[in-house]
Amino acid sequence: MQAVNEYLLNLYKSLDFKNEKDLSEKLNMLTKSVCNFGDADRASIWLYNDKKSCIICNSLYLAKEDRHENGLELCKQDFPTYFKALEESRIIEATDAHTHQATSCFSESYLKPLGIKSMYDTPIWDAGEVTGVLCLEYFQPKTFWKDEEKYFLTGIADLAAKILDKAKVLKLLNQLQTFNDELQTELDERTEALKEAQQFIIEQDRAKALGTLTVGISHELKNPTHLILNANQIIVEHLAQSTQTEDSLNDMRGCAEIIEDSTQRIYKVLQNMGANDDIKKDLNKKFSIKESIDSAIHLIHAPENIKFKINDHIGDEQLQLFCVRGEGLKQALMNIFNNSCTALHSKQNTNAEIIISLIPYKEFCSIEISDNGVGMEEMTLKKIYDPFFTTQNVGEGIGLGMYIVKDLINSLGGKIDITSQVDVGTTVKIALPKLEKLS
Amino acid sequence: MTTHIAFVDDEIMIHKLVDIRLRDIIKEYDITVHHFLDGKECYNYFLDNELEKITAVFSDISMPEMDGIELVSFLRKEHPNTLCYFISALAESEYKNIIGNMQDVGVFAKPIDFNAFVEELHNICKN
Repeated sequence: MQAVNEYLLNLYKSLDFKNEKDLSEKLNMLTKSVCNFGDADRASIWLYNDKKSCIICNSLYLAKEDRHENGLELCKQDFPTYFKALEESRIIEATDAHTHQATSCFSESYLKPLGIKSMYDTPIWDAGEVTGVLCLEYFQPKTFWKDEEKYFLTGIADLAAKILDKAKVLKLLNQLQTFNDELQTELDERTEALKEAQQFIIEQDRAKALGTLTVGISHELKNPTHLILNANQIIVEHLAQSTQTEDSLNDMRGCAEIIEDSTQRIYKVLQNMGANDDIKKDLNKKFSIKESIDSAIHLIHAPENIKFKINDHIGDEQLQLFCVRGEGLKQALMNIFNNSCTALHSKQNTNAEIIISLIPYKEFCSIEISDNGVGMEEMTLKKIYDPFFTTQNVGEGIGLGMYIVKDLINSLGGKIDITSQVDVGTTVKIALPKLEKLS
Repeated sequence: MTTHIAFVDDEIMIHKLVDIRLRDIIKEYDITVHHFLDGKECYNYFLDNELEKITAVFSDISMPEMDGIELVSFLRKEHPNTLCYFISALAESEYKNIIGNMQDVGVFAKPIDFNAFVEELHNICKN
């Protein structure tokens, strides 16, 4: 018995495997070992199909030829007594396989053609049900099996159950891995597609913004340029005359004014755009949020009837700790305050006020600027960041204010959001992230 | 008899330019130029002054409250005898797209060719 145990132990050790694909190799090892140990002519392992209607030979070792076969199928409907015995017995010990109750059904079709006289079958049990059978076949009648042989064969059947069980787990793991790989591939493909789509949208937006900006600049510069050309044409025509009347002199003075006014407008457009770039580039100095607000209020020279109110939630001292680089925030606030002043002037509000609320949180700070001016309609709000979009008359505003504000806030890593209601007022919310300490 | 014309443009300086350049022909033909800074102002003038007929309207296309297209559409329907002209800084392909199928509308490109403009006024006043 000790020899059997040692043999079994060695088998256990040699049958370890990591890949479900190695199962047939391990089963072949098992059938060969069993065949040799039991001194049989054929040893095989059969497993039920999924429907449990047939058993299929997964490994058959032929001792005489020292080779393996597989694939033979035996169905329950053809051999019901054998299958019944499989379900109900721990072993089928058929010394005369042709007459044994369980195996006699194989006599004509299977045993005689192959010359099999005796059979020893051990059903393979797993988790309370028969999943297959370990089968030893002998060409010479075998009258009995020793206890150690029976012990060994039962041990092998249990080992086969464990191997099959492990193979199932490995198969499931393999399927899971494949599924996971497929999901990962799909995820990668979709992520890539999304990135491409996002990039496309960004490029489209850039192209659109650039297009809008170009059209805006072109339109804004075209009008004064046309005026200059026309005014100049009149001056040239007058100068071509030999004498100048008082009227012609007045005309030329008028044309000179038109040229000056138009040139100033062109200069203002160019200055606004250039100044914006300069502000973004000059990031050496640090300014506290409070300093930027105070400075912006001071610089816009708001009409006296407009009151500025600052609500801060942490007090001046702490507020001084938060700062931004460069004058971008100040410039952005000036543009916003100017818009608020225009909105308040248009409403002719007796209680005109601009309320500035500061809500710091950790290293973040939110600035809200609310006015009780005329407010904006939805359509105006949608176009508010479009370059050269203005609700003011020609010459009063060139429509770059909020375009510049958004650009400046973005360059500070912040975000801007505007809500407005006609006749109630407008609120501009600026969220500034990762502010530096002033010191 | 006074000839009334309307000049509609949101560009203030162009009105000043028109007054300067048309001074001679205004005197010659007794022309009154009505200046409007938006299509809506001109539209309201037509509603409020049924009797005083404006012979010709020269209008910019892009204006804030009521654009030139809307104004001319109104004039074509309610005042079919009023001559209409667009004065536009848009390229020919652009304004042709905008004007679409509008019939009998003249177009002056900006910068205005004032010689052609004055010539047109001559024709209007003679007829």
